[in-house]
Amino acid sequence: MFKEYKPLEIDGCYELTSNSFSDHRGVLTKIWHSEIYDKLGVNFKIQESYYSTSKLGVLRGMHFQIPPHDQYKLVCCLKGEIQDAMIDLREGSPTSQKSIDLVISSTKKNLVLIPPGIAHGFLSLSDPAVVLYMASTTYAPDHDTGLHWQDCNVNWKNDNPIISAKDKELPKLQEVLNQKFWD
Amino acid sequence: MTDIFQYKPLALDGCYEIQQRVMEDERGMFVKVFHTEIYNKIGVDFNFAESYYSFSKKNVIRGLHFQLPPHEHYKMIYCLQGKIQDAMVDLRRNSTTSGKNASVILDDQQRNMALMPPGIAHGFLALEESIIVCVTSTVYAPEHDSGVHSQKCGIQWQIDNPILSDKDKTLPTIQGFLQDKLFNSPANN
Repeated sequence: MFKEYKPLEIDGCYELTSNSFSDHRGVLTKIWHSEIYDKLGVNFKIQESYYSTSKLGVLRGMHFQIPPHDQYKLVCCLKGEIQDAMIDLREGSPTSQKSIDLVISSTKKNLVLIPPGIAHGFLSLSDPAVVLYMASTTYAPDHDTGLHWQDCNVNWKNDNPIISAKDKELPKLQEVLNQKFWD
Repeated sequence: MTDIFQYKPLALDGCYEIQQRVMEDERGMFVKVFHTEIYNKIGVDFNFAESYYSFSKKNVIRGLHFQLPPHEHYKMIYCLQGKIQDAMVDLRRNSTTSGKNASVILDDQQRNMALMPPGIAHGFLALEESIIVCVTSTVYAPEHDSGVHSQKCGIQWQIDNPILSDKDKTLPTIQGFLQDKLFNSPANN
């Protein structure tokens, strides 16, 4: 159902490319199909979905939920483009502490699949960027936390992004790793 | 979390209009669209099996579509950008609203969505250039994918000369589906 399943440089993260069908009415693009489970050997249920619209230069992140509410997350961009970034917080992972970023956009029609134990964030490169999420657990306020955007080894394309007061207060990487949420 | 979505029944049995929860701040907007616990509260065990989005030009009608048993599904639909007349026809023979139709306006101002059970044929008219997201509880099964003609099922569309696909132009009327008792099992009532 998806054109491509490409492993990213963090263990368990994938870039998926959607199939898209165009005719005189417009375009139809698949963004989720349960065949993903078999293709990637993962097993979860989508429990929640939400989207955000962000002005140019908005940075949201880096976010994650801690066990037992940690989650798989699918991220796609339905309008505009974003610099999507993630960092591996799993102590036992072969790619522990590695960070990566890539551009996902409505024209590339790519999605990112992120397993539990990865902090995720993005920078809006368009005005607006509409980003849709599908997550394997529901929002758990007491287990929702994050990591400071400037301490995740990501080379952001904007030095002075628009950030929420909450995201500005997120802890540093070492502080997060010391908690050993995933060992 | 259980009061996160407001919802109200539509004119067809088992169909609902659900209000999305929207939070706005200086960065933009955050909109919650799907939450399993909330659906359980409405009495729907919705397995998020497939999702797609479509971009439609103004005056396009897509539909009406549905899948036949055993691949029939729940469908959830919302308008990320633009405005649509969302329409449904009840094909369940034993339903209290069998053969009837209902329409609801979904748009990016109200941030509302429609939820419908198996046995409902669904389609929409783009009143503006629109981006529509659709989630279904079973995956696409080409052999069980079916539809009824949008101009022959009693729906009062808001325009007279819509843009249809060749496939949608050849769809049958609803009569055969009602007579064949396709959606007749207690589970679909």
